[in-house]
Amino acid sequence: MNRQEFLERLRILLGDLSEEEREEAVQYYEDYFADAGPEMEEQIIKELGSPEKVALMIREGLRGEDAGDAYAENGFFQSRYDDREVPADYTTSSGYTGKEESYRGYGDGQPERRPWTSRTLKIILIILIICVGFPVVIPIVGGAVAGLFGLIAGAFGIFFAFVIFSFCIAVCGVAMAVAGVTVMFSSISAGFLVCGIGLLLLSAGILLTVFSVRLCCVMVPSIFRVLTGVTRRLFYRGKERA
Amino acid sequence: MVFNTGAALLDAIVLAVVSREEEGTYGYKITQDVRKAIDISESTLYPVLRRLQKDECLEVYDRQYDGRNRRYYKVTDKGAVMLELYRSEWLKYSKKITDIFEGGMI
Repeated sequence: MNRQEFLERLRILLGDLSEEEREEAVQYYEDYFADAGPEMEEQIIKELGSPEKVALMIREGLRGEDAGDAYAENGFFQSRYDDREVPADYTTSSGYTGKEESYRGYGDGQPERRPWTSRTLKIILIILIICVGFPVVIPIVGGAVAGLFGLIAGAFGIFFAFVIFSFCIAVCGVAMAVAGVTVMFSSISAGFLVCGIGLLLLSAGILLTVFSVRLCCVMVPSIFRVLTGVTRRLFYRGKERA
Repeated sequence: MVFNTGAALLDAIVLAVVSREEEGTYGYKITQDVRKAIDISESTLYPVLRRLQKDECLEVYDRQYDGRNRRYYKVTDKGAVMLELYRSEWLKYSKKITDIFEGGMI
Protein backbone atom coordinates (compact mmCIF):
# COMPACT_ATOMS: atom_id res chain seq x y z
CA MET A 1 0.00 0.00 0.00
CA ASN A 2 1.38 3.40 -0.88
CA ARG A 3 0.55 6.80 0.48
CA GLN A 4 -2.12 7.54 -2.10
CA GLU A 5 -3.94 4.29 -1.44
CA PHE A 6 -3.61 4.78 2.29
CA LEU A 7 -5.21 8.22 2.18
CA GLU A 8 -7.93 7.07 -0.24
CA ARG A 9 -8.79 4.20 2.07
CA LEU A 10 -8.85 6.49 5.07
CA ARG A 11 -11.22 8.84 3.27
CA ILE A 12 -13.59 5.96 2.53
CA LEU A 13 -13.40 4.65 6.08
CA LEU A 14 -14.35 8.05 7.44
CA GLY A 15 -17.22 8.26 4.96
CA ASP A 16 -19.96 8.62 7.54
CA LEU A 17 -18.33 11.49 9.40
CA SER A 18 -19.12 15.06 8.52
CA GLU A 19 -17.18 16.36 5.55
CA GLU A 20 -15.33 18.80 7.77
CA GLU A 21 -14.07 16.08 10.09
CA ARG A 22 -13.11 13.84 7.21
CA GLU A 23 -11.21 16.47 5.28
CA GLU A 24 -9.51 17.72 8.40
CA ALA A 25 -8.18 14.27 9.18
CA VAL A 26 -7.19 13.44 5.63
CA GLN A 27 -5.44 16.76 5.22
CA TYR A 28 -3.51 16.12 8.45
CA TYR A 29 -2.19 12.84 7.15
CA GLU A 30 -1.52 14.31 3.71
CA ASP A 31 0.57 16.98 5.38
CA TYR A 32 2.21 14.37 7.53
CA PHE A 33 3.38 12.32 4.57
CA ALA A 34 4.49 15.39 2.68
CA ASP A 35 6.50 16.76 5.60
CA ALA A 36 8.12 13.44 6.33
CA GLY A 37 9.31 13.16 2.75
CA PRO A 38 8.91 10.35 0.24
CA GLU A 39 11.79 8.35 1.67
CA MET A 40 9.89 7.96 4.94
CA GLU A 41 6.63 6.97 3.28
CA GLU A 42 7.01 3.25 3.69
CA GLN A 43 8.11 3.49 7.29
CA ILE A 44 5.24 5.75 8.25
CA ILE A 45 2.67 3.50 6.64
CA LYS A 46 4.18 0.60 8.51
CA GLU A 47 4.06 2.48 11.78
CA LEU A 48 0.57 3.82 11.32
CA GLY A 49 -0.47 0.20 10.90
CA SER A 50 -3.52 0.32 8.70
CA PRO A 51 -6.02 2.95 7.58
CA GLU A 52 -8.54 1.03 9.68
CA LYS A 53 -6.55 1.58 12.83
CA VAL A 54 -6.04 5.26 12.07
CA ALA A 55 -9.74 5.68 11.34
CA LEU A 56 -10.59 3.93 14.60
CA MET A 57 -8.43 6.34 16.54
CA ILE A 58 -9.97 9.34 14.83
CA ARG A 59 -13.42 8.06 15.74
CA GLU A 60 -12.44 7.34 19.30
CA GLY A 61 -11.10 10.85 19.53
CA LEU A 62 -14.44 12.26 18.39
CA ARG A 63 -16.38 9.91 20.61
CA GLY A 64 -14.25 10.90 23.56
CA GLU A 65 -15.23 14.46 22.97
CA ASP A 66 -18.90 13.58 23.27
CA ALA A 67 -18.30 11.61 26.41
CA GLY A 68 -16.69 14.67 27.94
CA ASP A 69 -15.64 14.05 31.50
CA ALA A 70 -15.75 10.28 31.26
CA TYR A 71 -13.06 10.43 28.65
CA ALA A 72 -10.80 12.52 30.79
CA GLU A 73 -11.50 10.35 33.82
CA ASN A 74 -10.53 7.15 32.14
CA GLY A 75 -7.54 8.67 30.46
CA PHE A 76 -6.56 7.11 27.25
CA PHE A 77 -3.69 4.82 26.93
CA GLN A 78 -1.75 4.10 23.91
CA SER A 79 -1.79 0.39 24.52
CA ARG A 80 -5.53 0.52 24.01
CA TYR A 81 -4.85 1.19 20.38
CA ASP A 82 -1.70 -0.79 19.98
CA ASP A 83 -3.20 -3.97 21.31
CA ARG A 84 -6.36 -3.75 19.31
CA GLU A 85 -6.43 -6.12 16.42
CA VAL A 86 -8.37 -5.15 13.37
CA PRO A 87 -10.34 -8.18 12.23
CA ALA A 88 -9.26 -9.55 8.89
CA ASP A 89 -12.67 -9.29 7.27
CA TYR A 90 -12.87 -5.67 8.36
CA THR A 91 -10.78 -4.68 5.40
CA THR A 92 -13.32 -5.98 2.91
CA SER A 93 -16.09 -3.56 2.14
CA SER A 94 -18.85 -5.89 3.35
CA GLY A 95 -17.09 -6.44 6.62
CA TYR A 96 -16.71 -2.75 6.97
CA THR A 97 -20.40 -1.93 6.84
CA GLY A 98 -21.04 -4.55 9.48
CA LYS A 99 -18.44 -2.98 11.69
CA GLU A 100 -19.75 0.44 11.06
CA GLU A 101 -23.00 -0.34 12.80
CA SER A 102 -21.18 -1.17 15.94
CA TYR A 103 -19.58 2.24 15.73
CA ARG A 104 -23.02 3.78 15.56
CA GLY A 105 -23.75 1.88 18.72
CA TYR A 106 -20.80 3.54 20.37
CA GLY A 107 -21.99 6.87 19.09
CA ASP A 108 -25.23 6.61 21.07
CA GLY A 109 -23.19 7.37 24.11
CA GLN A 110 -23.40 3.92 25.64
CA PRO A 111 -20.46 3.20 27.91
CA GLU A 112 -17.94 0.75 26.60
CA ARG A 113 -18.58 -2.75 27.87
CA ARG A 114 -15.88 -4.10 30.13
CA PRO A 115 -14.73 -7.70 29.98
CA TRP A 116 -16.90 -9.60 32.47
CA THR A 117 -14.12 -11.94 33.51
CA SER A 118 -11.90 -9.40 35.22
CA ARG A 119 -13.98 -8.93 38.37
CA THR A 120 -14.97 -12.54 38.99
CA LEU A 121 -11.48 -13.67 38.17
CA LYS A 122 -10.07 -11.20 40.63
CA ILE A 123 -12.32 -12.41 43.45
CA ILE A 124 -11.42 -16.04 42.78
CA LEU A 125 -7.76 -15.14 42.75
CA ILE A 126 -8.04 -13.29 46.04
CA ILE A 127 -9.75 -16.26 47.70
CA LEU A 128 -7.05 -18.56 46.33
CA ILE A 129 -4.31 -16.29 47.57
CA ILE A 130 -5.85 -16.09 51.02
CA CYS A 131 -6.38 -19.87 51.27
CA VAL A 132 -2.96 -20.86 50.02
CA GLY A 133 -0.97 -17.93 51.25
CA PHE A 134 -2.25 -17.50 54.80
CA PRO A 135 -0.34 -20.27 56.61
CA VAL A 136 2.83 -19.36 54.76
CA VAL A 137 2.56 -15.60 54.76
CA ILE A 138 1.81 -15.08 58.47
CA PRO A 139 5.02 -16.71 59.84
CA ILE A 140 7.14 -15.08 57.15
CA VAL A 141 5.70 -11.64 57.81
CA GLY A 142 5.97 -12.23 61.57
CA GLY A 143 9.59 -13.25 61.23
CA ALA A 144 10.38 -10.31 59.02
CA VAL A 145 8.75 -7.85 61.41
CA ALA A 146 10.55 -9.36 64.41
CA GLY A 147 13.85 -9.28 62.55
CA LEU A 148 13.28 -5.66 61.63
CA PHE A 149 12.54 -4.74 65.23
CA GLY A 150 15.69 -6.57 66.31
CA LEU A 151 17.76 -4.61 63.84
CA ILE A 152 16.25 -1.32 64.94
CA ALA A 153 16.78 -2.14 68.62
CA GLY A 154 20.38 -3.06 67.82
CA ALA A 155 20.91 0.20 66.00
CA PHE A 156 19.46 2.14 68.93
CA GLY A 157 21.71 0.20 71.31
CA ILE A 158 24.80 1.06 69.33
CA PHE A 159 23.89 4.72 69.22
CA PHE A 160 23.13 4.77 72.90
CA ALA A 161 26.42 3.05 73.74
CA PHE A 162 28.29 5.56 71.64
CA VAL A 163 26.68 8.50 73.40
CA ILE A 164 27.39 7.00 76.84
CA PHE A 165 30.98 6.23 75.85
CA SER A 166 31.61 9.81 74.72
CA PHE A 167 29.98 11.16 77.83
CA CYS A 168 32.18 8.90 80.00
CA ILE A 169 35.32 10.20 78.33
CA ALA A 170 34.23 13.75 79.12
CA VAL A 171 33.56 12.79 82.78
CA CYS A 172 36.97 11.07 82.99
CA GLY A 173 38.52 14.23 81.63
CA VAL A 174 36.91 16.29 84.39
CA ALA A 175 38.06 13.81 87.05
CA MET A 176 41.61 13.81 85.72
CA ALA A 177 41.75 17.60 85.60
CA VAL A 178 40.63 17.74 89.23
CA ALA A 179 43.17 15.04 90.14
CA GLY A 180 45.84 17.07 88.31
CA VAL A 181 45.15 20.06 90.56
CA THR A 182 45.70 17.90 93.68
CA VAL A 183 48.86 16.38 92.21
CA MET A 184 50.14 19.91 91.59
CA PHE A 185 50.70 20.31 95.35
CA SER A 186 53.38 17.56 95.36
CA SER A 187 54.86 18.02 91.89
CA ILE A 188 54.00 21.01 89.77
CA SER A 189 55.10 19.54 86.39
CA ALA A 190 53.30 16.19 86.94
CA GLY A 191 50.26 18.13 88.10
CA PHE A 192 50.19 20.18 84.92
CA LEU A 193 50.65 17.04 82.80
CA VAL A 194 47.73 15.23 84.46
CA CYS A 195 45.63 18.37 84.36
CA GLY A 196 46.41 18.89 80.64
CA ILE A 197 45.57 15.29 79.76
CA GLY A 198 42.35 15.64 81.70
CA LEU A 199 41.36 18.80 79.82
CA LEU A 200 42.25 17.16 76.50
CA LEU A 201 40.05 14.18 77.40
CA LEU A 202 37.25 16.54 78.43
CA SER A 203 37.29 18.36 75.13
CA ALA A 204 37.51 15.09 73.16
CA GLY A 205 34.61 13.71 75.17
CA ILE A 206 32.46 16.78 74.59
CA LEU A 207 33.28 16.66 70.89
CA LEU A 208 32.38 12.98 70.63
CA THR A 209 29.18 13.48 72.59
CA VAL A 210 28.06 16.27 70.32
CA PHE A 211 29.01 14.24 67.28
CA SER A 212 27.19 11.10 68.40
CA VAL A 213 24.06 13.01 69.39
CA ARG A 214 24.06 14.69 66.01
CA LEU A 215 24.50 11.30 64.37
CA CYS A 216 21.49 10.03 66.29
CA CYS A 217 19.47 13.03 65.21
CA VAL A 218 20.26 12.25 61.58
CA MET A 219 20.08 8.49 61.66
CA VAL A 220 17.04 7.83 63.83
CA PRO A 221 14.54 9.72 61.65
CA SER A 222 15.97 8.17 58.51
CA ILE A 223 15.62 4.71 60.00
CA PHE A 224 12.02 5.50 60.77
CA ARG A 225 11.54 6.80 57.27
CA VAL A 226 12.89 3.62 55.73
CA LEU A 227 10.72 1.62 58.10
CA THR A 228 7.55 3.49 57.23
CA GLY A 229 8.50 3.28 53.58
CA VAL A 230 8.76 -0.51 53.78
CA THR A 231 5.53 -0.98 55.71
CA ARG A 232 3.71 1.41 53.43
CA ARG A 233 4.88 -0.50 50.42
CA LEU A 234 3.81 -3.78 51.95
CA PHE A 235 0.46 -2.30 52.87
CA TYR A 236 -0.16 -0.90 49.42
CA ARG A 237 0.85 -4.05 47.69
CA GLY A 238 -1.62 -5.92 49.83
CA LYS A 239 -4.29 -3.40 49.02
CA GLU A 240 -3.62 -3.61 45.33
CA ARG A 241 -4.18 -7.31 45.38
CA ALA A 242 -7.50 -6.88 47.15
CA MET B 1 8.51 3.34 28.50
CA VAL B 2 6.83 1.59 31.41
CA PHE B 3 4.54 4.45 32.38
CA ASN B 4 1.35 5.23 30.54
CA THR B 5 0.75 8.78 29.46
CA GLY B 6 -2.77 9.85 30.32
CA ALA B 7 -4.88 12.19 28.24
CA ALA B 8 -4.22 15.24 30.38
CA LEU B 9 -0.49 14.76 30.36
CA LEU B 10 -0.48 14.21 26.61
CA ASP B 11 -2.50 17.42 26.18
CA ALA B 12 0.00 19.25 28.34
CA ILE B 13 2.99 17.95 26.41
CA VAL B 14 1.41 18.85 23.08
CA LEU B 15 0.53 22.35 24.28
CA ALA B 16 4.06 22.82 25.57
CA VAL B 17 5.58 21.66 22.31
CA VAL B 18 3.34 23.89 20.19
CA SER B 19 3.84 26.90 22.45
CA ARG B 20 7.58 26.78 21.88
CA GLU B 21 7.04 28.03 18.34
CA GLU B 22 5.91 31.61 18.22
CA GLU B 23 4.64 31.25 14.66
CA GLY B 24 2.98 27.91 15.27
CA THR B 25 4.10 24.52 14.09
CA TYR B 26 2.82 21.62 12.01
CA GLY B 27 1.71 18.05 12.63
CA TYR B 28 4.83 16.19 11.60
CA LYS B 29 7.12 18.39 13.66
CA ILE B 30 4.84 18.22 16.70
CA THR B 31 4.90 14.44 16.48
CA GLN B 32 8.69 14.37 16.26
CA ASP B 33 9.04 16.75 19.20
CA VAL B 34 6.58 14.90 21.40
CA ARG B 35 8.35 11.67 20.58
CA LYS B 36 11.56 13.06 22.00
CA ALA B 37 9.88 12.83 25.39
CA ILE B 38 7.38 9.98 25.19
CA ASP B 39 6.93 6.99 23.01
CA ILE B 40 3.69 7.49 21.13
CA SER B 41 2.62 6.07 17.82
CA GLU B 42 2.26 8.38 14.85
CA SER B 43 -1.50 8.00 14.81
CA THR B 44 -1.99 9.09 18.43
CA LEU B 45 -1.49 12.76 17.87
CA TYR B 46 -4.15 13.73 15.38
CA PRO B 47 -7.11 13.07 17.71
CA VAL B 48 -5.33 15.02 20.45
CA LEU B 49 -4.67 18.00 18.18
CA ARG B 50 -8.23 17.90 16.91
CA ARG B 51 -9.66 17.84 20.42
CA LEU B 52 -7.42 20.68 21.59
CA GLN B 53 -8.51 22.61 18.55
CA LYS B 54 -12.19 22.04 19.38
CA ASP B 55 -11.56 23.00 22.98
CA GLU B 56 -10.14 26.26 21.62
CA CYS B 57 -6.74 25.59 23.12
CA LEU B 58 -5.20 25.46 19.66
CA GLU B 59 -6.00 27.40 16.52
CA VAL B 60 -5.07 26.36 13.01
CA TYR B 61 -4.15 28.23 9.90
CA ASP B 62 -2.79 27.25 6.52
CA ARG B 63 0.38 28.64 5.10
CA GLN B 64 2.03 28.11 1.74
CA TYR B 65 5.01 25.86 1.93
CA ASP B 66 6.80 24.14 -0.91
CA GLY B 67 3.92 24.72 -3.30
CA ARG B 68 1.21 23.37 -1.03
CA ASN B 69 -0.85 24.42 1.94
CA ARG B 70 0.56 23.30 5.21
CA ARG B 71 -1.60 23.34 8.32
CA TYR B 72 -0.09 25.13 11.29
CA TYR B 73 -1.14 24.83 14.91
CA LYS B 74 -0.79 27.67 17.35
CA VAL B 75 -1.60 27.97 21.05
CA THR B 76 -4.51 30.30 21.83
CA ASP B 77 -4.81 32.47 24.94
CA LYS B 78 -7.02 29.82 26.46
CA GLY B 79 -4.44 27.20 25.54
CA ALA B 80 -1.71 29.22 27.22
CA VAL B 81 -3.78 29.42 30.41
CA MET B 82 -4.35 25.68 30.27
CA LEU B 83 -0.66 25.06 29.75
CA GLU B 84 0.18 27.19 32.78
CA LEU B 85 -2.31 25.19 34.84
CA TYR B 86 -0.85 21.91 33.61
CA ARG B 87 2.64 23.17 34.39
CA SER B 88 1.90 24.05 37.99
CA GLU B 89 -0.10 20.85 38.51
CA TRP B 90 2.74 18.82 37.08
CA LEU B 91 5.23 20.47 39.41
CA LYS B 92 3.14 19.55 42.43
CA TYR B 93 2.44 16.07 41.19
CA SER B 94 5.99 15.19 40.18
CA LYS B 95 7.36 16.57 43.44
CA LYS B 96 5.04 14.36 45.47
CA ILE B 97 5.94 11.30 43.43
CA THR B 98 9.65 12.05 43.75
CA ASP B 99 9.28 12.48 47.50
CA ILE B 100 7.63 9.11 47.77
CA PHE B 101 10.23 7.43 45.59
CA GLU B 102 13.03 8.83 47.66
CA GLY B 103 11.60 7.46 50.85
CA GLY B 104 10.05 10.52 52.41
CA MET B 105 6.76 10.57 54.26
CA ILE B 106 3.68 11.85 52.48
